[in-house]
Amino acid sequence: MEKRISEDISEVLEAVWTLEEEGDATLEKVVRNADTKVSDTLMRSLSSEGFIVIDDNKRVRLLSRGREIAEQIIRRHRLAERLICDALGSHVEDSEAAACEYEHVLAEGITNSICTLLGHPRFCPHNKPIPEGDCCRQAREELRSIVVSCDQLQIGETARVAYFSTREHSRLLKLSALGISPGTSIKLIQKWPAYVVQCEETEVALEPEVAKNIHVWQSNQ
Amino acid sequence: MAGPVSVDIRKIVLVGNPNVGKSVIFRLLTGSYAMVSNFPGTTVEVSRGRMRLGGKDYEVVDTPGINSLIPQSEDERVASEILLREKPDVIVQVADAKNLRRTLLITSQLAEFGIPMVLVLNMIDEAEDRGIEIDSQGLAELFSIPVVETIAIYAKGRRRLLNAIQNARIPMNPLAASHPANRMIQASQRLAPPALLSVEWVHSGNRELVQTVAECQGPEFNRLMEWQKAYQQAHKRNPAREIAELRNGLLDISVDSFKKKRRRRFLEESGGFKKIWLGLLIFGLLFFAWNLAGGLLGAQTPFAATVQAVGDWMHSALDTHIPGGNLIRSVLLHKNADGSFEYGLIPEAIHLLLLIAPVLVPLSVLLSRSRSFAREMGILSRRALTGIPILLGVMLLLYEFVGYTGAQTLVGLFEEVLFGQYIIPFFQTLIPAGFFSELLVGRYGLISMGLTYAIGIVLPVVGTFFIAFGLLEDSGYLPRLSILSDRLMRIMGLNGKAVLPMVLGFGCGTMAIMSTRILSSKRERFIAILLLSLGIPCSAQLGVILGISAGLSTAATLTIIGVVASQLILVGYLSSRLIRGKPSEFIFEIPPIRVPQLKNVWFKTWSRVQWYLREAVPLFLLGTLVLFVFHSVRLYGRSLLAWLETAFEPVLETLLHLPSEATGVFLLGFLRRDYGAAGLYDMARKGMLTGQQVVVSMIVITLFVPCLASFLMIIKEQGIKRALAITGFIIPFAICVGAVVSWILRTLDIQFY
Repeated sequence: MEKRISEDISEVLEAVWTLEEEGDATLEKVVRNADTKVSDTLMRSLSSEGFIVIDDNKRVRLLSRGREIAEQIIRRHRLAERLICDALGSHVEDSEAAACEYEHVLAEGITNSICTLLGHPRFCPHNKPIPEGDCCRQAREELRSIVVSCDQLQIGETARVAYFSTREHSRLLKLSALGISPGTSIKLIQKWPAYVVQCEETEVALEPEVAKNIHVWQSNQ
Repeated sequence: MAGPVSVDIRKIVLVGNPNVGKSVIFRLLTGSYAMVSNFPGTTVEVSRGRMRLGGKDYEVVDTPGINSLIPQSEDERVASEILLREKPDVIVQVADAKNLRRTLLITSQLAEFGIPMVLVLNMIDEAEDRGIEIDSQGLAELFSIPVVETIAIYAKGRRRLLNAIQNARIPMNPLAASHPANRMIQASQRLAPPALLSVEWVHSGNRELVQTVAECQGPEFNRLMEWQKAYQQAHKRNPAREIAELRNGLLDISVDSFKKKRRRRFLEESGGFKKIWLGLLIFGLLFFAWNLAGGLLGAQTPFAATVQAVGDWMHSALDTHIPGGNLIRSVLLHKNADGSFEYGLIPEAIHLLLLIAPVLVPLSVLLSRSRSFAREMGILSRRALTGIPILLGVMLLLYEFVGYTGAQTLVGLFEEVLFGQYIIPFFQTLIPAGFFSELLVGRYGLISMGLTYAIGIVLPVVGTFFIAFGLLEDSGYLPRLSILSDRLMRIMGLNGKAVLPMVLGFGCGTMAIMSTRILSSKRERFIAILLLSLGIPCSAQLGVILGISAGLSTAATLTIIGVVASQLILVGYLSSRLIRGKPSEFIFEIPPIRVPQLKNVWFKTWSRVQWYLREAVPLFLLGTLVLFVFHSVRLYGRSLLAWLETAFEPVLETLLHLPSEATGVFLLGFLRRDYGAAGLYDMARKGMLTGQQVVVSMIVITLFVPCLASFLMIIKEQGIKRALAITGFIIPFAICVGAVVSWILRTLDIQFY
């Protein structure tokens, strides 16, 4: 398992990540922003261990080893913020301090559980991106396979409409007037010469293009 | 639109989804007839009728079916226009009880008008059959309006409906009630109704409707526009989207709480019953096929043999018992010189009993008694593999009925017996020879030509076609045809929906042109009208074509059909390329297969026949009169017709290689296409045309200009410019195609005998 990294190092890497996100991580800013006392020795050991590199312009960059660690810290921090804001209902400002504590103590498994619980959020309450975890990628894969366009259903299969991928308002209106709208169940009953779906007790014939526009949640097989 | 109505007449407007029975309810209320059919979008014109209820007079207005008050096609706009402009006293929403969600979408929109309302859940029996239970009481409470359950075609629930109309109440707007905190909806309550709908109309870009709202609301409308603009700026949201979302949410909840679906096994008839009738149906079909195939191959068929046997026996019996029973003989049995029997009520009875009944009787028994059979037929007829054979069967039955019962039996009785033996001779003896005799019973006489064609030839054919079309319409078969034909129609820049006008065109082109209004884009309407005027022969013409082709070889008939069909597809394809735009999307509701109501079919046929007599027959007479004038007025010793013939001779003789006598026929074709075709029929029968010439002239006359009545209808639908453009394209095109076909036939020396 990963070896425990000192809090000092974490804080510095976190600061570099955040500054890089904002565009510019100079040594001066890193020293100012890090939530710990940054000594020259600390910086030197970070760069000698291959976490970061400091160029001639005193600009700090994360190396892949450092980036990996920083990503995890940032992810924990921002997920914690989300958790405190969304689940506990605290104010954004109050979440900050607590999140700083969490980022060091959460194990990876628990982090992923929280992420799943929160529905794999993409942004923290400050609108900064939350780095993806394995759980997010996995969920997205699953989601992709669950939501299919209506023409990919088997004949006789029933599914709930998820969304329409068309910009034409008239088409949306026409479908919803016939009872096909997000949330309703439809059943595919024919594919050729035209698609036919059943919605409530109505059979509706659709041309292929329209059938491709209707995306449905495929029920678990 | 109607002007101000006197105060003591109240107005009821019927609104609802397509094909839910508005027109039947209309008849139930007023006793008068509105076109009813099992095809979405049949009511294109607005019907109006009167009724008296509780000592008060009501005007009842039937509107075209809509899926939402936010219209998606021209005829869908009509309902909203009527609600806005005519400010009815009561709105009666007619709904298909099976489809609650779609119903409530409209209810929630209607609720915004602030007009007293009644909700009619019609076809409650079909809902029950499917195990659907609807909590009408709950719905009535939700909207605080009367909700009645009916089965309109059996007049069930009429009394309850009448009561409800007297107790109609201004509905509560459930959107407002369920979103007390929504600022937009609450604000809209303080604006002139229908505020939310108006916002949706504005955003759906429906200029005509917005115009109407503006006219009807005056300064109130400006307030509304300012408010919605302010809202959009303040909240950075499209208010129409938001309204649609809120509505959807409301519908989800209402459907969940008011509709229950039980698993219900309804009493399906015992398996044996169905098997017996299915067996009979298959037997009937096989027998039908045997006769048809035998007829095509020139072999002796059971039908022909029976007619001959019964005919011979009857004829000798009549001869011995009723000497000189000329009328009876020609009505019952018309014997040709060669001893075969051509027409008459006896052969017709054998025809109906032997060919039509063995198919239709088991079919209708199964459809009405076995729900599973009706459902299976509904499924089979919309699939490609089974649908095409079914389509073929339907067409052959149609041909048997229109082509034999109409074009042979009835035409024989009307034209040969009624006109040929009685009416014309009667007038000929009555009127002394001279001008009036020429005018009425001469070569181009109003009676001998005009009425004989209009009543003697065309009416029987059109009449039988209307019966068959009515049956098809009410059975719910036609929408399945739309599915089957969607891909073909797409080549021609149309979609499956256009099949209704096209099929109707085989009945009457003028009516078909009117029904193109159900198509959703201007481009499609234009292409459909162009194709209708170009190459869809109407039933009268078709009857004549069938009559002629009966005397021709199968190859000749196939050539005519092939050339005309290929030209239709070609012109459709080219115009879909030349006219910008794409086919509008095909999203189309398929109604269930139902047994047609005979009363309904009868009503429909009768009103169509009335329409024909009123609109078309005068044009026949006018056409004959024009011809008579051309024939009688003389210039330098020759009639105008002769001069015209001389003028057209080069075209006819050099390009088409037709005898100059055909000129008169083509001139007639300007007035009515079938009129021209009937003239050709005459010429062919008199042996004035060779097989080649018949084929060429039939192709040209089929592709030729639409009849005068449809030309007037095109002007009404598309404007004079486009009408002239269509005609200006078709005439040279028809002659060119005819010239090419004629050249090919002559070069390859193909003779049709």
